[in-house]
Amino acid sequence: MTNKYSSSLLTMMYVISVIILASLIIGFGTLTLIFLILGVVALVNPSARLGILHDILSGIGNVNSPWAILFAILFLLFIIAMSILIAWSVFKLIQNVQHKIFFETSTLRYIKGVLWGYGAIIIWDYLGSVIAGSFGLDIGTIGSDQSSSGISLLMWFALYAIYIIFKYGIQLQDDSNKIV
Amino acid sequence: MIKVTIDKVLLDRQITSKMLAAEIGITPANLSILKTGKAKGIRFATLARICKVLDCQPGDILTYVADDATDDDQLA
Repeated sequence: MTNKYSSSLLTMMYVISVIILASLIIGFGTLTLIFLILGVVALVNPSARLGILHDILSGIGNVNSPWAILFAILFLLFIIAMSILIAWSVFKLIQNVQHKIFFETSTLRYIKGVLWGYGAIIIWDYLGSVIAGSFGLDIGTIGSDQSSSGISLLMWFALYAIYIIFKYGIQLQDDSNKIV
Repeated sequence: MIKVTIDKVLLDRQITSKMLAAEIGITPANLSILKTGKAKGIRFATLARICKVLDCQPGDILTYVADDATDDDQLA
């Protein structure tokens, strides 16, 4: 079923997904480390606290609340964490296709991973923009464009429909396997 | 539901499950699925081979058993 062209495309997709996954993991780890260090410095050295707050505040927006900074950091880390979930699920899906593992529960599990990750990002993005609005926080650089929310939702619906169809397909295969 | 009562016939014919599976050309695992009632169906070709090897009729190894009352109500 998979010819030479598909095989080359799959290999390319596999390599790109590995690179993206590695980048996201390294980025998440680095950001977590940086924020932890900044947090520790701010706690230990009160004189540095104002400087750190000023630097971060000027990058985010016109706010005075440290809680807003904490929210922005958590917002960013959560988005990256969900992106890692999506990237890992897609990486495993491509791996399954390469090994010709199609209608198995593992494949369904990875599709569910993409579904959960993408859904969480859509919901968190929406909630984040609502909460950020009340803080007067500009998350334009880390949040998504609001005009694409409808399209994101439609894509999630399409992905969910594919998940249900796949689940039914696996059930049909199981029933077929039990016909002796 | 249809119950598969192949064990009794195997015992009468002094044939093991492994031997039967080899004779009819299915894996012992698939024969086990059939014997334990986990099978969703059986192909006529498989049924014919079983009957040929065991020298029996389909009715000798397949028995209809009435479902529970709740299942019957659901079907209705």
